[in-house]
Amino acid sequence: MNVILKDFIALTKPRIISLLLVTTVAPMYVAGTPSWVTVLVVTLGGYLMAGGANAVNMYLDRDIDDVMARTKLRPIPSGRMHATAVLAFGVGIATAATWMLAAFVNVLSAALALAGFYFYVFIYTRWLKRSSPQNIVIGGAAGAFPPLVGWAAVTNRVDLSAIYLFLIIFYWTPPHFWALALNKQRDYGNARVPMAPLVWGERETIDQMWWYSVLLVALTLLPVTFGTFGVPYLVMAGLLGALLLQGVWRVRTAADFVKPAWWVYGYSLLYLALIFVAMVIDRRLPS
Amino acid sequence: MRCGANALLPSPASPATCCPPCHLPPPQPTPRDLLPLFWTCASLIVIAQVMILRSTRRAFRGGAEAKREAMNPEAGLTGTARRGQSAALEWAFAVGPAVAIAFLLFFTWRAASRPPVMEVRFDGLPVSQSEPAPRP
Repeated sequence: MNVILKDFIALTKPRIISLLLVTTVAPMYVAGTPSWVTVLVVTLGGYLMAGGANAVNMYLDRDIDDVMARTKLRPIPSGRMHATAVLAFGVGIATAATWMLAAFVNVLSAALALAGFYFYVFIYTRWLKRSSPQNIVIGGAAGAFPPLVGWAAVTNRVDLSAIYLFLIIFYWTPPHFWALALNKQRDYGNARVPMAPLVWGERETIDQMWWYSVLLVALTLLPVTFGTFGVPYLVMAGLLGALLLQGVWRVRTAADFVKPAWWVYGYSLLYLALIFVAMVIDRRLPS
Repeated sequence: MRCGANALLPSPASPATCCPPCHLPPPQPTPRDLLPLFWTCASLIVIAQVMILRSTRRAFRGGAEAKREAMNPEAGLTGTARRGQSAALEWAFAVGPAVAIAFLLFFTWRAASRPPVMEVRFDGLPVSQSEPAPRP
């Protein structure tokens, strides 16, 4: 019983979702002052929607999960769960999330969350993941929906500030995932997933990581110019961004990129979470 | 709203306690102050986007197809890789975000360079400020 429950939880990829939830809830406190009930429903709905997308992803990728070292212990390839049950579970909890958000928050947040689900399942997993080296560039949009959901949950609209939050995650995705792909090339090669380092080569990928990071850091500072955030955020985002750029520069200049790339992979997770925390701190500072 | 942005018209929640000794608000950057930041960031974004497009073009020219074929020397393990996208579609994936960024910069510039809105208190004292984004 305990094992089954653990497998169901594993299907939702809880570690990945924790960052998604930070990027969902933080924008709620940037956009306004939500009630704790709204935050609770959005958190639960967000978890179920992202968990559903992850479960369906595991169903669709069950063939390649079996040949990749880091995924072959997942419930389907290890034989602990039946593929159809995983699909039903994923669709079921995503449906529940849609209903929950529409009924208790608003229709716009439910529609945005569902759009993120469809984008992840059909655009990223089904279409781009195995066919394009830019899979995570365009596919990164799927992970960028959570701030829109959080923003819409509070304001019932999407404005320029919300689009910035979306784009920050969109442009954060390539340097983050390519840092992982650089060190997992053999795995991706075995599964015949055309990640950029395998198709474009390491140098070109690292070059793009650098320019995507430059773009990302500049993008994080721009909301200050139209008054969404103030000087405290500018300072925090600037410092966090400088550290990210330093890390990617080390990947670019080191003779052996393995260690710096692992550092960038880990730090970029922290970077994204702290950027969103900095937004909340800035907005919550006493006037 | 940040303290000082509208210091002559303190909100009921935050009476004029910005700088008690002198009763003057701490200096806040005005939209004019922030325009250099906008142009610096916009320039960096344009340069980065151009470099990304150049790198993508190099990657296509650099025998991407050959590398894709050579990707897995033990080919046949899974047989799951699907046919690659056409070059036009790959270009669309690269150019699409660049176009979106161009629109974003335009709308940001418009928001950042909005002319100041003159508010007038009921007693006739002007409160000049640019309309800030709504703050909680």
